[in-house]
Amino acid sequence: MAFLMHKLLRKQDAGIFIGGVLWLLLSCGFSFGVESDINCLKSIKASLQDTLGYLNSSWDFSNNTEGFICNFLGIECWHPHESKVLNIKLSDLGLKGSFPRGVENCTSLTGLDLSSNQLNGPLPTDIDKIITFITSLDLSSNSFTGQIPMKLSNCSYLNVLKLDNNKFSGIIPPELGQLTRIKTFSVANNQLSGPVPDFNNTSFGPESYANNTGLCGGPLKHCPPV
Amino acid sequence: MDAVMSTTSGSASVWLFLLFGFLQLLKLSGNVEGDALNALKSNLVDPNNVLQSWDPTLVNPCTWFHVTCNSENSVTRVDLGNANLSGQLVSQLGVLSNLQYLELYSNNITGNIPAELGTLTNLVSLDLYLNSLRGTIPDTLSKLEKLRFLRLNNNSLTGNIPMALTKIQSLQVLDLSNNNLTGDIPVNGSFSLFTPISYNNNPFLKALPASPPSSVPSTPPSSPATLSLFLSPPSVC
Repeated sequence: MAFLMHKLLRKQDAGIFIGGVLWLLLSCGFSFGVESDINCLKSIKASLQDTLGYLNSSWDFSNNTEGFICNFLGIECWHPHESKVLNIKLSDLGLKGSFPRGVENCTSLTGLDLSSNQLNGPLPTDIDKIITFITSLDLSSNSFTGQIPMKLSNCSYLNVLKLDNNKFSGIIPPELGQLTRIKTFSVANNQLSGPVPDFNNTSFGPESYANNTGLCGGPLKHCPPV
Repeated sequence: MDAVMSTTSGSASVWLFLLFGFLQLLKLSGNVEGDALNALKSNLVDPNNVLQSWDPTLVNPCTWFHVTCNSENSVTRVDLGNANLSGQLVSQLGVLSNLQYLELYSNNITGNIPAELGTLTNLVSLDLYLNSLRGTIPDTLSKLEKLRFLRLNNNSLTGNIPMALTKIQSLQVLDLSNNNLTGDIPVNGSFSLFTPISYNNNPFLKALPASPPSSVPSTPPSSPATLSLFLSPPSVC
């Protein structure tokens, strides 16, 4: 490092060095998400049980050309030859395990569909850090348990939120009513109770809440006085 | 007798002239799209000779490389991504009425986005990203009712994002990042689907309203990433 610095003291070498750094930055400038997105998918594959072998056959990390992950099963990229993940759609693939936290490294992710699998366990309480820019989240028809995380209300870009057909319990966080862009919302077929959220700009019919333990309010029967 | 002969030959030559003109017209009408693409070729600088097969004397451009036609010999795709092209786009592109995919990304094209692209009502994908385009995003693009992919990122576009673009119901992927756009970010209509990622690195674009107070950033973490690039060059590049 000291030798390098000594060389830098000569003007021409400094120019070359700066030029080289600039070139490196420029060439990598638009692909800052690339390495993290590849790690994101590696982590998802590692943390899920791929009982039908779909991921095993399609998600091959050995061929390292530009944008190679864009051809993976269930992966949609922002641009065809750049490994920046836009959507992950892994519905009905016999996947087991808990919510893959590794999704956090797909920093440009806008859509996540893990519906109709055998995923279990609770959702991460800090889910807003993991899928910050999510616009469509479909976790329906799995075996997720526990509470619906309150911090989902920080995922302010959510348009579609499908949590139906799981084993969520407790209340629906009232903070979900703060989601201004929400268009589709369902928690039907769970074990939820308590008042449904008061959505600011919209409201949902009884089918969004059907088949739960004790939900009330909104389109359902009145909540009992506290 | 001579008078009759001269009138007959006179009307014959008129008929011949009309026939010739009609045949020329037939030849020309089959070539409107070829002429448009040839105008593009003339306005581009093509050091790799990717447009070598673009021969305007052919009856239509459907045999040209990088051009795809439908069963009626009308152009549906122009695929010139990553072709080392420079120069500028042309307004004649607007006549390609059946064009679905305009792929001109990753070149060094300068100049403006022609407003005439707004007449391409069958367009599904408009990829002009990674070029040196300047000027504004034409609000005529709001007429592209079938557009699914609008990727204009990594250019030097200025001005506002046309509010009328929110009318395009089919829009699925929007990338306007890395430009010099100004004004507000639309959030209504189809733009309800788009997050700060679509607008990243437009320093003078008014930031989207911040998420409810927490440590959630309202823009993607670009600075930490660039910093880490500086410290340890990614092996991917």
